[in-house]
Amino acid sequence: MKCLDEKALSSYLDERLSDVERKNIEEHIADCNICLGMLLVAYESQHCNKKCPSILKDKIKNRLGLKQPKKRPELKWFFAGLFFFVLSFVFRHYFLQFLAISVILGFKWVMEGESAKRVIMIFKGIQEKEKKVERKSSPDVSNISGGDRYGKPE
Amino acid sequence: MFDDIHDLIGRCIEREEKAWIEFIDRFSGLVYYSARERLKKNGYSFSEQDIQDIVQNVFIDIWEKSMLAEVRERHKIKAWLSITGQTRALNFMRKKKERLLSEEELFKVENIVSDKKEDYRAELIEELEKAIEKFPLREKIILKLNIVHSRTHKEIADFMNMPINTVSTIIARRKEFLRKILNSTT
Repeated sequence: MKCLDEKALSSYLDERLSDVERKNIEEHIADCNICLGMLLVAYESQHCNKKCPSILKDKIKNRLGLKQPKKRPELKWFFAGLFFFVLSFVFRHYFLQFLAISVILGFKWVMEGESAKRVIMIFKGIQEKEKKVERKSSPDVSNISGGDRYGKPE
Repeated sequence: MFDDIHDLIGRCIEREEKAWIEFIDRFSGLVYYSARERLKKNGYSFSEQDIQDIVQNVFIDIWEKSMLAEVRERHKIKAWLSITGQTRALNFMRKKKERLLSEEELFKVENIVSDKKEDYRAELIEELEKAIEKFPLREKIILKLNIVHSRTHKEIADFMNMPINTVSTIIARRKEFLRKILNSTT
């Protein structure tokens, strides 16, 4: 049984589809679980509000060569960090505590920046490659000698 | 920015960058969800990287092959995108499986697709399909949606563009019939 193409199948979810066209599609999906399953997921996807990871959206836009407006990291973290830094000098008794908070907020401001995200992606990419290389490398068999099942020479 | 979907797609067909950025922002989540769900329901073992590759490939294909120009019903773009995403997801996993088989990774646990629960489910579906083979088309679809896919009467009515009372009547009548058949065969 040849499955329906994407355009024909997706038209089933159109309320304005004619009865004849609807019946043609139903003739197929009554016996084709693959197409029926696909339509169900398409139906569910229209009623839910799923989000895509923002890194993936950026990757897609980069692959298509789309110029994106540069996102500046949230300045609120920068100003909050600056505020606590200034407080650390005003309230000297709590110098270390306020300094620690300002460092944390400053770190958060940096991590939200695009360059930090790129560094994290590169790092993750390197880790995944290393895992793949480990899996592919075959075990070292040079030390295995013949013998009984416990490796003792016969 | 583009309230009207027709307008957005029209501008995407004209390769307007801002329109494409909005198109990706609006619909990448839907394609992501559809690809993921399709692979889960088919019992594939996949990684986050696989899904990301699939979603990227979908948008690249749409862009490079100007597929939006062929979409007749623009207001139903979501359905088309979802089905396109699912088809690409299945193709991607089939090719990946072929590649893994050729690299002799067949016996790794993570590449095993089905488990006993899925086999049992497949048997049940087969039994159901034999029992409903001679039912009218719409009733077959309604019963499959209700019994195999656990959809409610309301969801089925909405999906098939039918009154809910009709769906409920068909399910009640046919389930009774199925119960008699199954009782008589055991």
